[in-house]
Amino acid sequence: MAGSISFSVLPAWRDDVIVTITKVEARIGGAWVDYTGASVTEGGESNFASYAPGVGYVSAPGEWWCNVHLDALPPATPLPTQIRITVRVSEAVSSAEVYANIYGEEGAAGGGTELDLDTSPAVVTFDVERDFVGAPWQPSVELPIEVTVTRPVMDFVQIHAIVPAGSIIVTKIETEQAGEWTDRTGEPVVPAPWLGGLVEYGPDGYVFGDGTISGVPGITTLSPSHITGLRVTWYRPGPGVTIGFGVVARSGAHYSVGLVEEFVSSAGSSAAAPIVTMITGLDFTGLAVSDDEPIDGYIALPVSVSVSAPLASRVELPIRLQVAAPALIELPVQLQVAAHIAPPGAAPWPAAPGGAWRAVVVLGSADISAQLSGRVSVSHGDNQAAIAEFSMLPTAAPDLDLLVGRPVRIAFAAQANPVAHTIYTGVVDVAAIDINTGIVTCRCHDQLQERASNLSRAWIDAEVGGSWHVAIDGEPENSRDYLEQCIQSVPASYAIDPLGTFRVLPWRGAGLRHEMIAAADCVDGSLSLDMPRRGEMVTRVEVRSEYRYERLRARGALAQYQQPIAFYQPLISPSGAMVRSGKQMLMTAMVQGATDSIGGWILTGREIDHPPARNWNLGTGLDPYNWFITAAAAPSFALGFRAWFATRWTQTVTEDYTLTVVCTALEDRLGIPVSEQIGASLQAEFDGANWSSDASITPLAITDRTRFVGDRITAHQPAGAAPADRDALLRALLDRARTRIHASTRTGRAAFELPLRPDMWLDWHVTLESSRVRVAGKVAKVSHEMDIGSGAAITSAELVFGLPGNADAERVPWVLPATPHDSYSPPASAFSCEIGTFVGGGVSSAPWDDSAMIGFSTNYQQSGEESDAYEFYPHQLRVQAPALAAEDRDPRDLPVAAQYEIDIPTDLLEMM
Amino acid sequence: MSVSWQFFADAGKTVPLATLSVAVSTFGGVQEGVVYFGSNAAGRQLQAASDPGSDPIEIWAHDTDPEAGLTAGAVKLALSAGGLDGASAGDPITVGTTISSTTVIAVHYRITVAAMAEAVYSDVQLRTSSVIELDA
Repeated sequence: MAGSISFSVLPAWRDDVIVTITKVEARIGGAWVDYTGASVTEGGESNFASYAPGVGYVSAPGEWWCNVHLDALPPATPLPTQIRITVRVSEAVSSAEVYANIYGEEGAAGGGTELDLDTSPAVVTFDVERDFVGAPWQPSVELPIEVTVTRPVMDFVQIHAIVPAGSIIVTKIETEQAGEWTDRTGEPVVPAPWLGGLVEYGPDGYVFGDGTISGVPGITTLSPSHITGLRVTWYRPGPGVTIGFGVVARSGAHYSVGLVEEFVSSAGSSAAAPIVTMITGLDFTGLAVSDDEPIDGYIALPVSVSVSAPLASRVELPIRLQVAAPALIELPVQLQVAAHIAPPGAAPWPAAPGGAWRAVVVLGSADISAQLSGRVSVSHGDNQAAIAEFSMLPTAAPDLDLLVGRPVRIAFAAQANPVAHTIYTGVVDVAAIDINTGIVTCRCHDQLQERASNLSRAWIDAEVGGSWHVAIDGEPENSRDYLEQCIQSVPASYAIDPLGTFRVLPWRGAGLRHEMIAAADCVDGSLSLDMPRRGEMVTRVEVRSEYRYERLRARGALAQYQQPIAFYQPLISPSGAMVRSGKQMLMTAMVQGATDSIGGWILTGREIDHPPARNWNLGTGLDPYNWFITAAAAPSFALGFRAWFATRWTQTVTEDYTLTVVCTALEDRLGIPVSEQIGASLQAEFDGANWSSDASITPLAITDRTRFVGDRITAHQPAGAAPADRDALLRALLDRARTRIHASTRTGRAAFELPLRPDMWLDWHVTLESSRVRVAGKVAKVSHEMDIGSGAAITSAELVFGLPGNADAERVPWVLPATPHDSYSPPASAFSCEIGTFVGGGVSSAPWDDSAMIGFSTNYQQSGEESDAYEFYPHQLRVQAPALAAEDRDPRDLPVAAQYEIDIPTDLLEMM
Repeated sequence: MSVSWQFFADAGKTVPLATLSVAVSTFGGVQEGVVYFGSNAAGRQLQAASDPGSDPIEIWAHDTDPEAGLTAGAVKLALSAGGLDGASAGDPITVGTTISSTTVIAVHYRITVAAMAEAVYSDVQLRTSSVIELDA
């Protein structure tokens, strides 16, 4: 329903007056809207006929309350602020009451007035309540109402009697509660309006009925209400009729549940001979009473109504718009094309001395070359931070704090060349000032450690290569540690080049710039040569590595025993004489007792063979000897059995590797082996506490149906400690060993000085040649010094060389030894239980030995069993599980040894 | 608001680069290296301005003076050192449609220079496509 209007006219409370409404108007949005003719709906509430053109709405005759209900207002209209009707009545009445109501989705409002109506039309105007007018009239908005209906608590019971005629006198009322009967006669009753007469207890008792009433003639209260039975003692004076007693639980006046009735005849009853009527099966406990029972009479539904706030009427999606200015990100590329420095002999390097050069120092973005004083020095070295130092006389008072950390670029340029060669890129580390001269000296470094720490592992893996394993040096703290660990496995060094690029430099071969320098190019007297030092050479490296893991083992064993029936039967000669007595039989209970529990083993299956129930004639036809087993007794005996057991345990296995890497050529050269040892261990941790205590945990779970005989073994080699990880560790160690031997030979040094060669760096592989020696090697250190005062500009270099030969060496991939095999194999007895057979009570029966006689022990069934003449054994079965051998149980050490012969690169070293 | 993305000398984004300096002799030569593209701002992302989140961001060598100096065709770019061999000189590389400031992208370069006159040439730059920086 969108909105509706109703009108009510009470023509002075007279039902013989006809009301006619001829016009209906509503003031909406400041204008009167005519709704005359709108259809009459809500038939239950309207007693006006539908609108008749030219007549209007006419009330039905016989109504003192004339009501018309019109569904008139369309959904979207604003609420009316006023209602106006034109009304007349069939005859004049005074003090007629006229009401108008409008109904919206959120409530109703209206107004009323009292006036005299006449047969002439009267216009009646109502103002709509202000609050209601302001409320929204939006059919799309719903007001959810939560209605909670609460059943009342039954707080008393009502007892009534149906007496068709006359009355009855109840002299006693008893109730049953919690199994006990209580006399409730004479207790106060609860007044309960609307429920008929109230029967109070009087001197004669309760008097019900007046001879005609049926239904609810009386009420009384019995408290507490949850009674389970009612016993009424009563009588009726007069002729016998059928009397009905009823009992219901009630809450106040309007709610009752659980009517239970009992009808009995009053015939023969009297005060002296009352009737006792029992009503049982009452159940007024809780709501369950009411669910299946009809609700009696008029029910004022006790409801508690909670009205919650309307649900959100809108779903909002905030839009967040970021407006950003587009930009281009640019990195200028500065390509310095400097004059080529010709090789010796081809053309002279137009350099120092003689003021033919200039030093360029750019501090931050300022070229301070003109302020330089003294010397400018730069030094690079393998695996070292490049350092530089320069002095300057600032044009203004310097702020030394601001200098620290500022980028520095140092270059060298021949005066004749416009482009300077950058020989250093770094930052100021320390700045100091000479308080006498004002000269500021800056010491710089190239942030090698920071830069190395910020390398990515991926970059290191790609550029350095080599091998690495966490078991050798542990998890690196940062990328620099990782770099240091990886570089130990490859013949290479690292440094930051003069332009600030992090570089990895091989010791030999591709990736180096090859230059030749003649002794004549060097500064006089600067050339020196130190041969490789024998004492520092290592000819072999022994790699020791242990790979330790747990073998999870399960073993299945079988306990098996069998005897033919004849074993137990006596032996009768053909003549009928007893040759040998029978033996006590193996009992089923013995088998069960002996196999149910064996220390350390789990019973996983058992089969018992019982003898057949039958008769055996051990004699002859003429002289029978019957030996029989009854059907009842057969299951108690056992001829044999098979029982499967399983157990499991862990065994530590250590693969103990000794891999020797040998450079035979070097060893031959030295004449003796010089050995070093490196190593690392890899262990597969196994938290076996639960596995050991709970056989159902995988792997190798043992259940009561796991029947197997033999060994099941699985190695616990999780990721990170798997065989592949073991192999990676071994290869990393072997790589380190090879690099270590190679490095130990690179102790030769050739040092020299040149007029400053700005292009010389650590990526140079120099062949230094004099009339007496020719040596080649990678530059491991290079320093440039520009003395502005003296005009000297010198490059000092030190190249590294190893053993003579000038040959590369192939780095042959390692072929790792095969995984060691445990050669121990358990014997068959390891999988079977010990069960012997021992017969006592015979002339040849040995003395009983409890420790040695494991198995089934029985006796001949001698008549003189108590005699000391025979050795009788305990009639029993004992099963002894196989023991675990030390080879199965104790840690296993599997040694592996191998030797690898390698070649190492040699360098050019010739004496002439 | 300026864009916080820039090029760095290291993957840790501690050494911002104002210029990528390379040096060769007048005989020419080849220079290879890597720079890192990233941002030190927190909670930011970078997208192409043309169609944010859909268009890829590109980086290429841009020649500001095609008539002289170094040419863009001298520069190869790749996202890995190994990718340089297969890269085409002068071609852009794409670095994704949305780049978080938590990531850093390695941009490998190979500059091949023929014999040139002695000078400092600064007419080539690494340049991104037009980008916008937004909250992540």
